[in-house]
Amino acid sequence: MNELHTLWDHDLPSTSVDGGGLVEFEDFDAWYTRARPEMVSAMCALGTPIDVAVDAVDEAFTRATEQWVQVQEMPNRDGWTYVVARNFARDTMRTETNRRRILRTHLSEPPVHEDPPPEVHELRRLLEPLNDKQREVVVLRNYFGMSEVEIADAIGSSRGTVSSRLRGAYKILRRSTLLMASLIVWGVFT
Amino acid sequence: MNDERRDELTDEELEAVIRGMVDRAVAATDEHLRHRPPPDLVSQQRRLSRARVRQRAVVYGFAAAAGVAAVVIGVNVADTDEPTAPTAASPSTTTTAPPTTTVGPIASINAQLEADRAIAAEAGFVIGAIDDDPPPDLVAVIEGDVVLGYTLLVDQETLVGQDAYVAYGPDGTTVVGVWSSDAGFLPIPQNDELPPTLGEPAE
Repeated sequence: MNELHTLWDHDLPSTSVDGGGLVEFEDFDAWYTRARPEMVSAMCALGTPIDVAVDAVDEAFTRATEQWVQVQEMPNRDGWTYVVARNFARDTMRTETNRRRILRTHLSEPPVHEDPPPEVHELRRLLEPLNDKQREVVVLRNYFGMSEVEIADAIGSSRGTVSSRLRGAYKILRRSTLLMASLIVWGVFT
Repeated sequence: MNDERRDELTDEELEAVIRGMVDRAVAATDEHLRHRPPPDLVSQQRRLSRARVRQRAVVYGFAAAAGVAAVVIGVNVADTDEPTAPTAASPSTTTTAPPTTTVGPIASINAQLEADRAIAAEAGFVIGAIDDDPPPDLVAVIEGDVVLGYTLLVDQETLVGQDAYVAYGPDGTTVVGVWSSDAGFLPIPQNDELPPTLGEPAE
């Protein structure tokens, strides 16, 4: 057993000491490597500036490591992490807005945020006609492949509500000129 | 004609198109994150302080931002609530996972310590310990057996109970090396080929 294993077992006393802890640790790494860019991209697609998104997603993963014993057992840890990041980003943006409002006489320039890559911009434009709630379910469904039940569980809503939002969103998206262009590019339409 | 076809588009067809766009967006974001400058030190320090060095996600993010393959962080298995005094009799903490693949302790407290301190002192270096005032507060970024740089870590409180050592140069502020459990004292290359460091030592 190497020291890393010992360290992790120490951090996570409820994990087994016979090798299970290391496996789970690696599980975290694989999950983090895959999910981090997805999380950041998803939040950007919902309109969050990329610098705020990165900060929020890192914060969410940090909390996931702090509560790894619980998080690793979650059937839908992507959903949990997304919600943590989303709430953190909202708090950040709200604080920024409030600070600007209170100190507006002292602040001459608005905060500068980084632009996401053009591919994310394209997705933002596609989702623009949707309302915030529709946008969120579309993102959770298509970024993380969540079922309606998983989305409902993640955002604290009912499956019926999620289903309704998805249907409404897809109805709008079917009329999207941007989607039309994609369909042509993809060869679905001529 | 296309309008009718669009109305007949199934959810699966629609999602296939959206997911194609999502895949491109994720790939572009991944690439963007790899070339993004390191996070600002305030958020970096806050987060690391709160999560302590056991959290690896953020550290990995920093390393990825710096374009390095591995990170070695200053952490000791003891992780007690009290400062760990360097002693020759400390348990062996020198067995680490390969430095190119994982995270392990910078410094082990072993019988070699006092001798290396003396060697470092002759060279004008001071090897800092976590309970020094000011504390070293640094994380070394290591690829293979080469220290590429370092980053501001956390406040002293966060480091309590962990064994991290860095070596300062004669000016008392420039970090010139770290103590590696694998290789003992590792100088930080002092040349222009260094990749950007992830942070600067605290004032």
